Amino acid sequence: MLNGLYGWFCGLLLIAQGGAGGAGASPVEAGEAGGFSGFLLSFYGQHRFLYALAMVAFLLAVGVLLGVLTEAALSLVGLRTEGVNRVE
Amino acid sequence: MEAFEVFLPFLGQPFNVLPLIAVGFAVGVLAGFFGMGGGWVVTPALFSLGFPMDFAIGTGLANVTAQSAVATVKHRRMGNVDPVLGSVVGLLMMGGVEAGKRVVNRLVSLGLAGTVVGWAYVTLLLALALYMVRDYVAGRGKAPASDGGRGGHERADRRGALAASGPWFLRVPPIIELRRCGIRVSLWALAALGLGIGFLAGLLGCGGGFALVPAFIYLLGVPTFVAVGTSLLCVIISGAYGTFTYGFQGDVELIAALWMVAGSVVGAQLGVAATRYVRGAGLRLLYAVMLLVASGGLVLKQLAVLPDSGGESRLAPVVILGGALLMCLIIIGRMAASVLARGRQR
Repeated sequence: MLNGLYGWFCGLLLIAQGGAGGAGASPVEAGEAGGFSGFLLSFYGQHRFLYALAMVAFLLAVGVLLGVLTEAALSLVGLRTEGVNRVE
Repeated sequence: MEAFEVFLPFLGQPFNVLPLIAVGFAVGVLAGFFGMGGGWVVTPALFSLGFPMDFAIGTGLANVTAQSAVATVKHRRMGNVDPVLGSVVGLLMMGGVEAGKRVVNRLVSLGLAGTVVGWAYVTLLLALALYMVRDYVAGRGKAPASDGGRGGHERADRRGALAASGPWFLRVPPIIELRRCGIRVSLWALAALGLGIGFLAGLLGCGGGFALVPAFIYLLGVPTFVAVGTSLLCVIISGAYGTFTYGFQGDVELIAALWMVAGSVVGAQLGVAATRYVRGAGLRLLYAVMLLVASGGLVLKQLAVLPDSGGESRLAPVVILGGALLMCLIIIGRMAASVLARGRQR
């Protein structure tokens, strides 16, 4: 599932990256990193602001998505997740 | 174990995902069950696992932000979020987070980030443990709440009435009205609260819920459930900013954060579900013990980075993670036993 999400993230970033052009200076070198790791490093190096923004949006989306899926899965086995809040 | 290794590009090294999932899961269960606290496990645990302190803070903030997203949506649905209070304090927390991050950057350049933030965590964990013990002692002998926690509302409502006419710093103009909470409060008080807690969040890499919830309830008089829901909104706003700003300088390991989020979201749902099945003030005392254990683990880690000492550093993650996971096992085990017992009764 995470691989799938990685794919979505890569896709979104590639769309966002399209046409932006211009390489900025990166404090991090891509080195021998390949695949998704290499992609993250190169995207961070070229568009740091966009990278940070997309990362936050992606994390929030993953949080909500996983939450909804887990809630559905737990309700299937009869566990209710509207807990009793006991903070006092 | 190599099958579970992923390459973390910003750290430039492979890392086993199992401890990351375990950290996330433990944080989720604790946060879901106790309603606050849990984010404080992430930074010390990552630091103990070998992350540099600035990476541990940035990645911890990323995990807390994603984990809070779904909880905020749920609380919003239940009407437990005051959007005005949450937005104002959350936006002000962003300023505090920025200040905290700058202090961390300065400490990193001086080579003192691990030591200073580590000892700050030891102090925080001890203070939280004392708070939990005090809470436990104060709660002993009282009849258990049979109203699902509405007693908290009533007490907070009374405090709210007191706050409106009470301490002078809550009445300094400009005053804003918080309709959902039913209180009027000085913007200056909210500014001090937001900036102070935001600074802690930026410095320590946690959400700040452990300070927001008691401050909302005891200082402002916000009803308990609204305090919990609103604090989550604040955590999302400030956490998102913290993740962005740490991510901008390359201090967030997205891959590590994703694995932790996978564990924490599942853990949080289980923790919330467990509140329906597991009761007992004794767990609060156990939580305090766990805080002390985690604090001890961090002290071990701190001692191991001192010159001419070594060998203890492997103990630190085991102690911190082991304490948190043991606590989770107890909660989930008691929930499973309760579910089975109810099944037999039917």
